[in-house]
Amino acid sequence: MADIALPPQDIPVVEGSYLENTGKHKGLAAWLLSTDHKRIGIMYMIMLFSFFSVGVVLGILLRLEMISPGGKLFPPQVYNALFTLHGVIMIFLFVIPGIPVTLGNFFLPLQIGARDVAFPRLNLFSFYLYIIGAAVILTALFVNGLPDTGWTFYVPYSLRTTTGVTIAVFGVFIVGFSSILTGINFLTTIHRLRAPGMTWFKMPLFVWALYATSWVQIIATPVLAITLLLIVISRVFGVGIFNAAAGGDPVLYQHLFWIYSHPAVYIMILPPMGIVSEIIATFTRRTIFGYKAIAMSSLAIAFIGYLVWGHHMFVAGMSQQADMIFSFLTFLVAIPSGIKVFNWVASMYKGSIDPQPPFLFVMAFMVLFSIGGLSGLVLGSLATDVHLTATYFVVAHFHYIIFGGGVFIFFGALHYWLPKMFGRMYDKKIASWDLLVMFIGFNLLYFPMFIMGYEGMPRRYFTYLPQFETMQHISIVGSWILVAGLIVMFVNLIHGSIKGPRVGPNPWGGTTLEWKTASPPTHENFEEEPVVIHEPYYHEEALTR
Amino acid sequence: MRLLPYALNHAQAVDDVMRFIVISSIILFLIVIVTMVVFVFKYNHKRNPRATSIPGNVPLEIFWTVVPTVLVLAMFYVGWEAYLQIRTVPKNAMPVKVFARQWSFSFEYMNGKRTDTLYVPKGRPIDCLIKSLDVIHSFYLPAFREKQDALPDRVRHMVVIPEHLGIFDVVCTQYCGLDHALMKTKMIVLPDTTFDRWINSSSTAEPKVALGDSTIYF
Ligand code: HEM
Ligand SMILES: [Cu+2]
Ligand SMILES: [Cu+2]
Repeated sequence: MADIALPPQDIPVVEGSYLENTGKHKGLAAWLLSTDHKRIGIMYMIMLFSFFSVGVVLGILLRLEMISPGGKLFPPQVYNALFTLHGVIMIFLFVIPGIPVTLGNFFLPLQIGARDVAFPRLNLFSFYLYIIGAAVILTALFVNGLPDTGWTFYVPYSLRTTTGVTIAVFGVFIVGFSSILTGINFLTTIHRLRAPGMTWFKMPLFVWALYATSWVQIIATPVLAITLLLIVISRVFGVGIFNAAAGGDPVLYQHLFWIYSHPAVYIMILPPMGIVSEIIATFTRRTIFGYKAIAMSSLAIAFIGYLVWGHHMFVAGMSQQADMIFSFLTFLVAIPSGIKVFNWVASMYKGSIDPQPPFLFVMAFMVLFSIGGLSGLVLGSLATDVHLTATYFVVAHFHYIIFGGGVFIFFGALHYWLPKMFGRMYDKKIASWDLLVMFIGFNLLYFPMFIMGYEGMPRRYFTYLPQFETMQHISIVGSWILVAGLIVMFVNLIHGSIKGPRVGPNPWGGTTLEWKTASPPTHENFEEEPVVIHEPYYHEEALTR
Repeated sequence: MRLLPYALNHAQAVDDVMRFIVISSIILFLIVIVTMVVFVFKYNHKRNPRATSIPGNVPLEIFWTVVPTVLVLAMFYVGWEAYLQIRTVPKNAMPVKVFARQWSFSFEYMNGKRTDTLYVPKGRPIDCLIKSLDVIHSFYLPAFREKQDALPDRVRHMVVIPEHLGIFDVVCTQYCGLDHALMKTKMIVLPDTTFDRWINSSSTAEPKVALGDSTIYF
């Protein structure tokens, strides 16, 4: 780790970094037509965070509507469109593609010592499918008015409303294909392109997480694609698959939708779980505790995750037996996640912990993800779910899991890997204090929703009863604090990656392969193919027992 | 086997399940977070410059797999048991048809009488026969901790046992379009003699309720 000590001006500029144009194209085209996984990853990042920003603005507006009971700020139609867009953008355009297409694209080949993914051109094609899908979804805004169905597009409402549902759903369908292709690409990459010596159990845990995620993408996404296509067919040709009057079944839609959308939760959360393991191993300077248990629990979550979709439908009127089985399986799927959490804490035991910003993000994750996960137990239990489903309690629960768990680790991962991507460091002091601001804002924003939900505040309401006013106001103030924190974070990261002090190949003392090449890496990733001897988190200086 | 005292009042039963899960969760949460914080301080690199790599410990891993498994199975069981209360229709239950449409509820009693506010007698189990006349809605009684979706093509049951006089909110919790948030009414629990007199009278007027002496719940 000699390079940590070098003053920034003495760190040599990397020759032939992937940020320089070398191919036949110049300027913007050199990016837009690049099949380099690193450039594609960065292009995805720009797109994803643009959508995220739009989603956040919509979220702030959703909260602002609650400034007074009675919903005077926006008329109902607008509020209904706002939460639909907020949900569709956040879910389909931001968190589902999420970490795999951005950091996965960038770091999967680096972590397994490959030059690129297995099918670089398919990778670029997936990117354009994503762009086209997103464009189609955005077109829906300008045709027939904003969709107002909620991100779940439940029938029969979604078949009746006159708004641009058909187009929006078709856009989501296209984005789904991008997801499937990326999954296939990553699976092939992991199977075929690992560096010599990297056996399955020498793969970094982020790679394991991407592996499990890719399976979910490949197996679950087609169900979504078919379901959405059935909506389009029903709307355009009036086929009565989900239409009760024509002998169809509206609850069938809910089954199909959640058969995809529950596993999709694991598409959102498995990759961040992988990154948590990476960050902990680096900043504790020791190996991860229970490597195999963590790797296998990713797979267990991916597969049991298919069997629990019915927990979204406990009040839809399934049979008692179905309700019972789904509740039972839901509790079982909680166990592998719990095991991971215990292993992560155990990995800090006797470490030599350096709480740099990425590690602080992990600590915030542990708090927020635990709250999210434990509140999931309340929703897995039948009696309490019947009371709390479709209330603010659920809104709080999934924001804690997806935002507090998944997205906070996405941010943590940016703090971890940005120095590798751009060869420069952001301001660490600002990053750490800003995390505290975001953490406080987040809890003020969402914790009151648990309480309001328990007191019976339904979700997707543009208005509320006066007794909720105080809680609503706390939550609104929280949303402002959170957003202030987000802005500071992005400014700090962007400024750092352009103007920050230079760093060498391994600023954190990480042990996985991406730290063994230049920062930023060259187009070829490695000067010569690395050979793997040790387990991924082998810290030379650590004592062993 | 009952892990929690059985409460006839369903809301009480739900709250008991809730309390059990929340308290266990807080304990688990504190164990995880306090341990983490202690480790972060105790094994700070300044205090502990050299880490020890411990790849695992099988007995420990079995322990923290088995204990949570038992705990969540208990949670599953108590939740399931309380849930059966609203799904098992008692023989003496009084059927009331609940119709949901964009954006209002209406109710029909055995003898064909219809109202927009739900009137029920205290102490008699009510078998709500819930159906939608258009898109999917949900019939939610927060004070009773109960809800059931209203589907267009079939009737769903939900049992309510009103044990207190009072006026309770009824709201829709399945998004159903423009005025979803305004789709609400009240459920009024009357003394059973008042209810019987009203239901058997030929008058179409709704029963008079003295707001003053009843508890108002949300
Ligand atoms: C500052 C950031 C955010 C704020 C202020 C915010 C706020 C909200 C609010 C208030 C609702 C509930 C609307 C209602 O039911 O009446 C909501 C719904 C939702 N949010 Fe967020 N949110 C934020 C970030 C996110 C993120 C990062 C995600 C996902 C990654 C997300 C996903 C969703 C989804 C899926 C819904 C459900 C939409 C629906 O009901 O169809 N949100 N958000
Ligand atoms: Cu689910
Ligand atoms: Cu509704």
